[in-house]
Amino acid sequence: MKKVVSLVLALMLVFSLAACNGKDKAKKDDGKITVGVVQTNANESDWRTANTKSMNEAFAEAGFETKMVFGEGDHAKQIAQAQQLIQEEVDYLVILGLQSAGWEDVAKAAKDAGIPLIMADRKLDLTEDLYTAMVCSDFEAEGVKAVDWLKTQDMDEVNIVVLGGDTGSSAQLGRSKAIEDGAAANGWNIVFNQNMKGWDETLAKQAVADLIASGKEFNVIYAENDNMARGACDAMDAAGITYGKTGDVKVIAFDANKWALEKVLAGEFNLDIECNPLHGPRLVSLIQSLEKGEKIEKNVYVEEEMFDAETITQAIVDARSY
Amino acid sequence: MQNAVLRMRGIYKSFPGVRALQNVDFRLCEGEIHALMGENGAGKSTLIKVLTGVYVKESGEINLKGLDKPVTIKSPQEAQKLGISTVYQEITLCPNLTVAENMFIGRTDELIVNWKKRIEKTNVILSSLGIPAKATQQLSSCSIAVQQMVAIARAVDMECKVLILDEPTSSLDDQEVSKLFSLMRDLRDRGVGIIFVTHFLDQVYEVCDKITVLRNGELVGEYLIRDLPRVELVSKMLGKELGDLSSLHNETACDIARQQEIVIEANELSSDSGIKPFNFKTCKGEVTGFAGLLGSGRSECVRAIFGADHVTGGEIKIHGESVRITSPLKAMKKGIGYLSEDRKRDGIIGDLSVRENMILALQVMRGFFKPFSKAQAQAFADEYIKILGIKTASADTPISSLSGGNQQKVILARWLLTHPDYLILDEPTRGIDIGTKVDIQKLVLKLAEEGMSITFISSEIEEMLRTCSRLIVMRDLNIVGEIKGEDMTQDRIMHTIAGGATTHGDS
Amino acid sequence: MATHDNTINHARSASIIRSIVKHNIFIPCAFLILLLLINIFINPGFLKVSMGTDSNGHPVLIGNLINILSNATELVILAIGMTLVTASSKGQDISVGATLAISGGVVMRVLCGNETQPSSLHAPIIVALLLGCLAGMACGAFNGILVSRFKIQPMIATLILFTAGRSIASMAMGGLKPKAVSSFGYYGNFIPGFPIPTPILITVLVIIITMLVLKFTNLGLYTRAVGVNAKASSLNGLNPSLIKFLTFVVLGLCVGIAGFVQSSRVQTVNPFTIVPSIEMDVILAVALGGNSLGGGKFNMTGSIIGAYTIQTLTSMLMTLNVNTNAVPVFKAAIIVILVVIQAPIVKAFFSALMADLKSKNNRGKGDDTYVVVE
Repeated sequence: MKKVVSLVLALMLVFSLAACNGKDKAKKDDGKITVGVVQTNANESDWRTANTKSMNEAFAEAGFETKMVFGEGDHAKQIAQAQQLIQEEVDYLVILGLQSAGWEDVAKAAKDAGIPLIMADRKLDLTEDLYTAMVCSDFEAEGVKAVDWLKTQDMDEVNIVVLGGDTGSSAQLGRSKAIEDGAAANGWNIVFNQNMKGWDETLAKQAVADLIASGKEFNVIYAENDNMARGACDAMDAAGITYGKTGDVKVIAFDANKWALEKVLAGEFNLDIECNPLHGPRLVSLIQSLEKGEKIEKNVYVEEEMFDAETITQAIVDARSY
Repeated sequence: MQNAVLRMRGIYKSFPGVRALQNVDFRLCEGEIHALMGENGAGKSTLIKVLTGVYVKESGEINLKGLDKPVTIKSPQEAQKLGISTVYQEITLCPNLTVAENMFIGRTDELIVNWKKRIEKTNVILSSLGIPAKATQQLSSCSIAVQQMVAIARAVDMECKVLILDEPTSSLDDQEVSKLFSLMRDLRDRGVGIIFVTHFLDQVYEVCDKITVLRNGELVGEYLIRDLPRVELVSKMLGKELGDLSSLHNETACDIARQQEIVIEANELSSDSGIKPFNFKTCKGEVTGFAGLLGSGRSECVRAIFGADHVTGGEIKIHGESVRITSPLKAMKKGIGYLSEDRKRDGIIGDLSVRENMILALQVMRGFFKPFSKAQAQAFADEYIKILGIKTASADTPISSLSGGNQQKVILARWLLTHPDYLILDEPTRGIDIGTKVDIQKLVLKLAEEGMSITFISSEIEEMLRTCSRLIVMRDLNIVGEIKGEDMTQDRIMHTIAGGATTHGDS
Repeated sequence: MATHDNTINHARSASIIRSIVKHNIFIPCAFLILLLLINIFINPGFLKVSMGTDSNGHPVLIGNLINILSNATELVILAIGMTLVTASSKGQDISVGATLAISGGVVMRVLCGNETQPSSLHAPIIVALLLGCLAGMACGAFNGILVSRFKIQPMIATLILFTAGRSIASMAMGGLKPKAVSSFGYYGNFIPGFPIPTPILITVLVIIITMLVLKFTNLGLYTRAVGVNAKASSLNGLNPSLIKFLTFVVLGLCVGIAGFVQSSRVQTVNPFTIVPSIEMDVILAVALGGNSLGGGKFNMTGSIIGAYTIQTLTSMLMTLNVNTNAVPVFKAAIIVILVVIQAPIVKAFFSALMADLKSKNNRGKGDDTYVVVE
């Protein structure tokens, strides 16, 4: 008897779910475009906050309906969320992956469902036929910019401390690869190369303090985000080591948050390379082109600016919105 | 003699600081029930553990029937394979499985299990041994006695030649004990050699054929049961004549002057343990007893007085003053001490030292912010180790490594340290050796003499007859009678417990 | 005669060695010393402490040892609380990382208000410290009630805050990531003019207070009694639920202090990345200290040493510049060795071995005496 009841209940549940789906379909016909966004974390950094805000604002302005979900550090969760959005039959699926691997099944499911898949922020390991478009930061190119800048610095000996981000994230992989290749090609020493869990300021600070205490000589800090660069500077402050425009150690940072640009302006950071978080408008124009059936450029790399302490001005800092 | 199924010769085993077994011989024949006797710490458990592979002997020889070479037993599994099975006081089966599952668990020799066949087989075994259980019944739904019998049946089914029963009767009532005994006799007649370890002398004389006595890790001797009267057995276990046990008697029945001074008075007291509202009072220097079967409510009464259970009604007066006791701490502050029934579960704090166990109650009364200094605590511990003759390597030894009797003395010391006006001793003599039992009874009389009121609860009626001046008899959570003075005889108590004696005598 | 004296001296020193070896903090200490020796071997300047000046010209001590002592602060303070919780509740609090984020977040919010880069502190630092500790204790109380009153297993009860804590912290900060002025950094770095890092002073203070509390109150005895046998304890007048609850609140206080120090280190808190996976390191510290994670008796000194051991290990792997991807493997391998050597089975084996050696020695000595008598 119990079993029969539970069977009936289970069937009812299935039907009601099916009914829900039906409703979703009905909604689609009102002409509004629904965009499903799989975002990484809600609040991981200032950069991410600006990134999320940009998408929400741009989509709302364009009259899209946004369904944004957050993986909160969990790669598997992101994949499940993407599958769920496909189930809900969104019109476009935008993925900002925590990790670059493991997205094939999601991409195939989206393709089968006829949902265009757009990779944003970070490039995923997918073959060309599995996605519709890409609006990504080219992290390696960012790193190469830093390497090129370092070449112009005319130093006798280059001893680099690499403070990496979360192991395995595409930003860490790209930026670390650029400096590793650059060091090999130019005969620079990498005296330290470790990844800090969670791009964390405190960990970076402790790592640099340990290096100083061990008596390791270095004259370049290559921090893969602004926060870790700040942590490294704190550690050097505490040990009386000078850095920046007038100091012994050159500090290279990435992301270029507004507060970091202020540090560049103050001469504390030598170089900050932008990683533009304002994906919203770009995504909107891309989706609108797709709607109109226009031809699009499949792989778009975001244009990144570079801020040098020698050339930065107050106006540039003031223009920064995040 | 006839067919020895097990022979142990010259067994040695020592632990750091202790020679647990020295040159011990033991012989078990086919078809006999052999009692292994000795005080706690005499080496019984060590010998059993050597035999079952829990400990490895240092030297000596173990021979089993049918094997021409001496065996070395390295683990309980090996012992089982050799046909040595043990049933412990605590049930070691899985209560959440069925009887049949328990019978076969851990014995999988076949890949595919035919449960139908197994259930049939289990039922056959159960009925052949006269065990009142069904194969498909969940084990926890059987009484403790039946669970124990199932454990025995499992051992029998594993074709054991040597069956060790380690204190199997401690938690059984009389009826269950007699059922167990008939099962034991049945097995004996089938040729199984049974080693029976117990503290109950009566049971030894009821069921055993032979007795081996150990003392201080050495063999005293092996005797036929008919050659060794009780008194001699006890004196062999203790190594001294036991003249004083029989002379032990409470002569300090409340005299008139003391009767005036009521220490504790409970009126219509009841608690959430289900005890019916009861009245109780005791005067200064009186030893009262609660008699009754297990579960008759004797522990529940004293727990209600101590505030160990949630009190739901009634009042308590101490020295004539009405007090509210809602927790053990309040009872302790009012001068009540309670040595709980289940020593292992409710008494000792296993991993803590003898010293910490002793001072705990007094320390709690003193308060969170006033710990005793180590020297103070040590002084208390030394004092009571000496007074009570506690055998322990030092006051720092964890209490769990002491023998049962010595653990009980430590707990007793814990309460004596609080200097209570009224001390409740709930089964203080259970599961401990006879020497300590006598010590505790003597102590009770001495304390009463000095003016402490004591309630003494024991399953052994003789002990209560010796120590108490007044007995309260319980049945089914009710007080059904009170016996004192010359009425205090075994017969009278039995009749009251059984019902009927309060209205008329022998019918 | 001289030989005789020698024998006695020998026996006495042997017994001293034996009592040291048998002491329950011997193994944790031995590990720590071994790790330090390895460090010295790899980097001879490891123990060197030199006096430097910071960028403002104030004197500061610089050295690996100083860094380890300073960086271990949060770990040590949390391990103290965790030891008590483990002993009383027979389980661990896995939410300490997340609740540390909450108390750190509260500290930042109190100091910075709604500004991201305030030019001055919005409240006195003592207020921030107190409120941070209160937040930590509130989280501890929440966990404590679930464990003691509702009898939920500690791991499951604390899973709630483990999951939600960092988001709560973000909410407590109003979604902002403020950076406080550098004078707030005194507590996580240096007080200008005083060369010893403040976290070391705070650790020493916390350890002293802990030892005083354990000496002058019955917290230790009660916690152990309840952890070993709650039922028997309640018949001795203790209230096991209350004591379990209290240990969680004490851990909450430790979290509050640790959160304050941590937030002062870089004067900012990112609730999602602050002290990543510290809960596992804390539990490990307790285990390395020779404590049973099954509760009961505890060894506070052991836990503290365990915490320093882990920090030394972390710092060592960092400065050795082992390939980043291999760091967890190294850490795990070393920890496996530490834990296995402390397993009762291995301990028993070694003490049997010692006893064996001793008896052989004695036999040898016996022969000597015989010769002398002849």
